Amino acid sequence: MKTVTGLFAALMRKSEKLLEPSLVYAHCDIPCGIYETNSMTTAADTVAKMVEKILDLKGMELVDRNNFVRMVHVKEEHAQKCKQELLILWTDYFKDEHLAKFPDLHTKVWKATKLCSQAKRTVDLKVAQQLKEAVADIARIFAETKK
Amino acid sequence: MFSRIFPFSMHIVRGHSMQPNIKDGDRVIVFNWAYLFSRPKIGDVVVFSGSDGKEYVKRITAAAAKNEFVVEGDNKEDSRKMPPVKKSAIIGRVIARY
Repeated sequence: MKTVTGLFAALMRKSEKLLEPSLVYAHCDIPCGIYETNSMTTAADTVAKMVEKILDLKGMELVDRNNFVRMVHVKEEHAQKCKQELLILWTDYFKDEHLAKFPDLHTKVWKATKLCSQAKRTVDLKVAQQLKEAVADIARIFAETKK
Repeated sequence: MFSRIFPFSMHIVRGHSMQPNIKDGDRVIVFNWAYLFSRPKIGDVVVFSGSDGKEYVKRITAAAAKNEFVVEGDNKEDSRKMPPVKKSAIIGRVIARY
């Protein structure tokens, strides 16, 4: 399997309006119980670490600017990953019985995903910390449901 | 079967079980005639029809029986077990992603 990039990939994307590619699934929706919270926790930690590093940047040399772009990219990527992992738990794992036990679960997940978006838009340690706490809270609820 | 009239098809991938090789949102190009005259090989990434009517992308990891293949995702953390897939259910081989 080759990875296509550049002009050909751009042309293929353009052609999608005409060719309408169909969806294929890289999961099977069989309830197997394989869910975890490490990925979203690591993603939230990475976002916070990138915010710290961006705020610590001082120079404006080429290498600093290069690092800045890379850090923003990693922050963006992991905020999105965190959001995806939260949504997987929300849509695939949490059930009615969990909601009965944790009635504010919907609100907590909703606010945590909002924080992922906020973490993308901002370079704010407070937001990053709030995201870490929100994710830790949902991880705690997840662990409670496993007992 | 309709898709096999054309040699190639394009698909958008949803899900994480093929990471890091294929990510959620990636596009893949599938050669639909790949197995007209040959057998799928271990290691091939294939698109196939599941018993629920959805189409899936997975890697062949073993031969289960004659013309039946074990398929798994590359991301073992997010790869849920699937029953073996018959050759007739395989739509084609993924030849590229973009």
